[in-house]
Amino acid sequence: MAWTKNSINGGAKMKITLLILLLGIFSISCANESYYKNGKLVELQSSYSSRAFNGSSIKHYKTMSGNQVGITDELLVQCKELVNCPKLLDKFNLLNYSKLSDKIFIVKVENGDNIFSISRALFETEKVEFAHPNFIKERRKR
Amino acid sequence: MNYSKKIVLLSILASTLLITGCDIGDSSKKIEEKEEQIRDVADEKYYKYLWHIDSKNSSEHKIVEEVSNATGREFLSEKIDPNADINILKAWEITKGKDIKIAVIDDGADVNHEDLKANIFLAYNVDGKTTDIYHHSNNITDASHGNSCAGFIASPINGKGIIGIAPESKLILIRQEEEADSAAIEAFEYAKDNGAKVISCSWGTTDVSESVVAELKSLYDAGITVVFASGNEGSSLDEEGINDESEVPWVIGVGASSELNDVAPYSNYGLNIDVIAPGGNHSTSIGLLGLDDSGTQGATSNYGLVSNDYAFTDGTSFATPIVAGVVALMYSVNPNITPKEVRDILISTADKVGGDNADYWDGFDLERAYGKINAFKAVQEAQERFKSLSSKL
Repeated sequence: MAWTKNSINGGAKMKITLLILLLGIFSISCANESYYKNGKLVELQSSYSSRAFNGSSIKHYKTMSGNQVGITDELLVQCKELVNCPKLLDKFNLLNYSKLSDKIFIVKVENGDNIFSISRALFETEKVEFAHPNFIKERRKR
Repeated sequence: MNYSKKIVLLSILASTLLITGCDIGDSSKKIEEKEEQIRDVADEKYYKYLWHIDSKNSSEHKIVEEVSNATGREFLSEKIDPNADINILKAWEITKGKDIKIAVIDDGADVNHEDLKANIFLAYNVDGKTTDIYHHSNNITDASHGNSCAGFIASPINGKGIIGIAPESKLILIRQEEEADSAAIEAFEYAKDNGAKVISCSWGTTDVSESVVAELKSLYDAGITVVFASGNEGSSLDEEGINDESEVPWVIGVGASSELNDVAPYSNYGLNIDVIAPGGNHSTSIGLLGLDDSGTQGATSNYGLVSNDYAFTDGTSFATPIVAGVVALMYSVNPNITPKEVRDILISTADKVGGDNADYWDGFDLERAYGKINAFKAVQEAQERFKSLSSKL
């Protein structure tokens, strides 16, 4: 029985350690799933992954207000006046982009997993008005 | 007379006949156009049901009672308030919005609909990058959303069914069902690039992205007025966490009014909503009569009183194109008008509906915004501003 007890204790310790580790990883990954909106950092909660969209898979998240949003590997970026946007994007090695309008660029991020960190890094240059994922949001007819 | 002279004379005669013939053709075309223009709107087949256009007439025809008798349904609201319309008949004495381009971003439309096709300028499908925008309602019991939105703006005066608020305007119909921010921006850009002065949007996310707000600002700066529906939950948009398209400062946010000439109970409201306009209330009365899918696919909500191509419906979705139509009329009498002026005029000329239930403070009531639009006053004010500007130049 001692063996069993010791084993349980050892197993429990391992489980707790593993749990802490997982929680740590989870919280780090959660902390990374954020972007700037109107200059404020907005956190998203990972929800589930689903269907393909334009050749990319959509990851679903929940906003703090409970809305579901989908995210692929695309960013929407608008630079501030007088900033050379293509040059800025080149600096971040973001080479796959096109113009959606006079001012807004749609940018494909090669490794979609980095989409949040790239969006934050772009915003922190203080050279962009916004750099957020190309959100997919439920559009309700009214 | 020598031979060559004869040939010259014959040529002149032939040319004259040809020209005269052309003139006859042109004249008959002009006469037809004239006839079209002076056709009495009251001759429109389903005119009596169009209470948002002529509520006095609808009231006199006791249409709620008629629908009740036809369906066996008992309505809580048995009457159409004779003042529930938007005073559009007087506005049409000034303009019907000739050739003003209005974009509708929605779920597509039936471009061959008898009460739509004459006023379609362009059709574009953002999702498929094609011109095929055909879409019918997923469920036969649903009225076609896109058709209804387009029809409330620009159904022509042709005797066939209903009349749009700007019946001589031209539609840019954009189908966009893909829900990415980029797709919405692409739809707005298409409308702008093709000359739209007004963009009507009967949808929303309650969580508008910065990129879409930036696009709406750029349209505003380009002189284009965008109109958005507030939604149908009967709730406040001022709750924390709600950032709806209809609340963006660069758009006109629209709620719905009912057959009783007051705000419809389902209409979302908030400090950033601008006006209300007829949206009807299907649960207590008959709703608005709009376009449905053509043929058997459209066999819904017609109470057996109108053909399958039409349906009774309700919602802020349909109040929105009614406002968009009025905005188009304003552009037609004042091509220099800015989106800021459009908003200022719409809210300053709105009728303060609601009677004792309302509580307007500085012209604003939380549920009724600045009141129900008054098309005639808005168009008249837009025209006067243009005249005043022209006289200064």
